Amino acid sequence: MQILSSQFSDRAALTQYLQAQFNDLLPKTHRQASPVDGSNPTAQFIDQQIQPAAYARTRNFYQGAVSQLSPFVRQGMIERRHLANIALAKVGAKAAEKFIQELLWGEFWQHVADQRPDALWEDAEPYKTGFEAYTYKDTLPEDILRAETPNACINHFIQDLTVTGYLHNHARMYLAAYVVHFRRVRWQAGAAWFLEHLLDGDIAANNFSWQWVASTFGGKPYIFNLENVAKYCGDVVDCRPETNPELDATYEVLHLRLFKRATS
Amino acid sequence: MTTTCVWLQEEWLSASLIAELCPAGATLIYIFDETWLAQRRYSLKRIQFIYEALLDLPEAVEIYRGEPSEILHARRQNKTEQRYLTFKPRDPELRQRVLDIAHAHDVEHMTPPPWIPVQSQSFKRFFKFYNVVKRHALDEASRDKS
Repeated sequence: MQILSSQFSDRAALTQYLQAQFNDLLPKTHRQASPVDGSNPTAQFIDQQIQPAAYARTRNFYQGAVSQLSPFVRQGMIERRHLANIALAKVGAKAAEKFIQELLWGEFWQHVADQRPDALWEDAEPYKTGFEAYTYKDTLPEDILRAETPNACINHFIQDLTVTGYLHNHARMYLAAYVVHFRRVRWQAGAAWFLEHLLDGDIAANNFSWQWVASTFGGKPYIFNLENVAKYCGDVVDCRPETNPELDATYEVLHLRLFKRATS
Repeated sequence: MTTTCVWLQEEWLSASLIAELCPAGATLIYIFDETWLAQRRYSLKRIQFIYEALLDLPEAVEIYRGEPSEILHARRQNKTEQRYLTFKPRDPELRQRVLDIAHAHDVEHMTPPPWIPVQSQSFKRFFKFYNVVKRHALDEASRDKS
């Protein structure tokens, strides 16, 4: 048993202290703090971050008007209902619906987890990829862990995850699909990796979303191609074909390449 | 007057919730649970984020690293607190662990009120769930006091 300090001269001193105190428990890599501070956000900051109308238009874009408040929601510092209330007060029910729908996804995943805690780490259903679960690798390849895959955009998203602890939802889907379908790694390995890093890492939303991408909690596997990444992230992320060779293909070609043994 | 110790949980670090549900004057403690951290392999980013949230709470929090069972047992031995409380986690795995420890150490648990009432019906797909709960979510009359 150890009592920890509550007095620090600055944020860097806290980081240094935690590196020393938790040295034996921390993963070997990525021992830096997130740029996102866990101090309670001000009411003004929360209000600024909630732009329901812009959210409805731009949420799928890497630089879209997402609130980025999910880490504070995860720690219970802000309630989802409070965010919904602000959105409703700003723009009314119709314009706030997409934003509130997104908040309700979190409640839905919690509902599913409470109903099926057995499926948090087990395949809820078989893969619909044509491959049996045992054919998927159990661990993440080193090039993924090091953000050194052949694809610049994927490396960019991995850096977001491991350096900041925050990743845009669309990028989470790209990364999950890359891990499971392009590299054929079990979704469980990816889900555990996300929970290690994401400040908003919530097992219900995280694991069932991975299962949805993998097709073990949904009707078909989710995949993407470079054209799609370029559409939503191309102004910020390197989406050149020559630097993303595994992703530069049509959906038809990718389906044949990734799911060629699928029966449907 | 009964003295109370509240064992905070990582999913409920809300100043308003603590003020609402915890007895005035209660001692607040937080335990960085070694078994849990080893299981989930939290990066420093996550640990620091939680730590900063704890430091920013208006009431001082005694922060520990160790096994919750040992820490709660030691407090029972050495302190004069008569009542122990904790929050019921949402994470099913953490919930099981916390409730097992709470049961073993006579710690009462509090369940913060949910936004969406618990559904007895089981939903496998989001939009079926959404169609049932959206009226509640979009109805300003159901808003909390926040």
